[in-house]
Amino acid sequence: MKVIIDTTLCNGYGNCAFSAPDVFDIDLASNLAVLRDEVDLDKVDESALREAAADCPVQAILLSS
Amino acid sequence: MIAVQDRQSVAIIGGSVAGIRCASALARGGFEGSITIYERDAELPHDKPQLSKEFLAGRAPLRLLDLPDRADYRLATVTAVTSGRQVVTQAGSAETFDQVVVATGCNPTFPRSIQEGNRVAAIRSASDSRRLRGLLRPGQRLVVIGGGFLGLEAAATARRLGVDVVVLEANSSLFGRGLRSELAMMVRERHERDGVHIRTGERVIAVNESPSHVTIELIEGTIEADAVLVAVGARPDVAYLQLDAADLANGVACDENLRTAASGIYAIGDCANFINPMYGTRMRLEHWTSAGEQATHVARQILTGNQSSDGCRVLPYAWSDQYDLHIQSIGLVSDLGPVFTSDSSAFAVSIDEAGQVVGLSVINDPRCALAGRRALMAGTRDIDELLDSVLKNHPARTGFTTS
Repeated sequence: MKVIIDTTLCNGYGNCAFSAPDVFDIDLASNLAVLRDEVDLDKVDESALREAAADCPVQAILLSS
Repeated sequence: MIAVQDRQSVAIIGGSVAGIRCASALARGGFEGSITIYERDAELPHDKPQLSKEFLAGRAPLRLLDLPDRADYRLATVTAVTSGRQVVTQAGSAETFDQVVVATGCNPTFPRSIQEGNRVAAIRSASDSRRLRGLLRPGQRLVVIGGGFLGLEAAATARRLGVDVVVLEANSSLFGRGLRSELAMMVRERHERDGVHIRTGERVIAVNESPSHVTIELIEGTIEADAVLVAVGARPDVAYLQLDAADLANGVACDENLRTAASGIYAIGDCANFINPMYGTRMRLEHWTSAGEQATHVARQILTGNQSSDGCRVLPYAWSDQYDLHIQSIGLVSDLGPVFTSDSSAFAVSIDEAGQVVGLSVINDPRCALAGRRALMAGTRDIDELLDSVLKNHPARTGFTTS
């Protein structure tokens, strides 16, 4: 599964990081959402990712399998 | 026990954030029954936060909500829902469902003395926002009645369009119970620095619209405007429900699992007056995030045959974008607790009289807000523990001024 965060839309609302803390976090420097370094996207639960994407208030998370 | 494979029929009353998120969650969860969504507004389901921001500014086209293909979407005004789950529409159709999810939200409050008009609007749907946008041209005058999240956001948007803005708030401070007062003051100062006139303690007596302008009568004097935004709150839209009147006094009363007293009827979103397991008390939240959380919870309830669960534990979360300010409010707001400010950010920890943390208000510090949110959700109530979580790895740790 590919995950792209549209940083032009992201404003650090944090819902993705809150609902899927193993996958997303908020970056120290940019204050925007990022994928955690250690995440293996092939092993992540797809439905959890879809839920995290739905939780974004500005639809900044794009998923593709 | 009802299994996922059984072909239940679900009716969702209201096609806004909560309703559509519930339909999506059902579809995502492999629901094999029928989903029927009733919506009275001719406009396709669309997200709400944009209506006072980029959409109002004319910077972006309307962003629609993802409607699951398999949902039967009906443009109709529901005039009654019986306790037996029969849904009746204005056009005269009547259909009974296995489950009904009430998601009709709220209607904007218009005080008796103020009528909606060509120049006087609330912001609830895209058509409202469009109408208001048509009146916001450089040099035009906008009066915003109500200094809460919505009014102030629209004020910032309008100001950035070159509109002269006056905000009238009846209380002595902005945001009411929505944001810590010290941070509310910082937001006020930011507005005033940009030229927005904020008048607190101002009560509006009447609003009179003429073809060319609007006159707002205050206790002392009048103001003229080209457009007026009424943003004083909203009232749940639940009168069509044939449930106990006592259960409809403040939205629809429901339990920890968003179930109403009527079997098979749930309530989610702005109109749901639920028992929040987070606090053990009833509350009705008008937040985007909790609408989605409740919607997902109810979808899960339906998918698992209404199995008992610990309930929908919601940590209230609201945010607002005004100018370069990213404002976040987590949990509940009190008048007690420390405030930390740095060059570009601030946060305040709200504690109750027993010294337990109840919430966090933040400006321009999403990482702090996230850390606080995680800590509060995990049950942290001790202020030192919370500050530890929030300040860990914080770049401005030594740069904070405390009060």
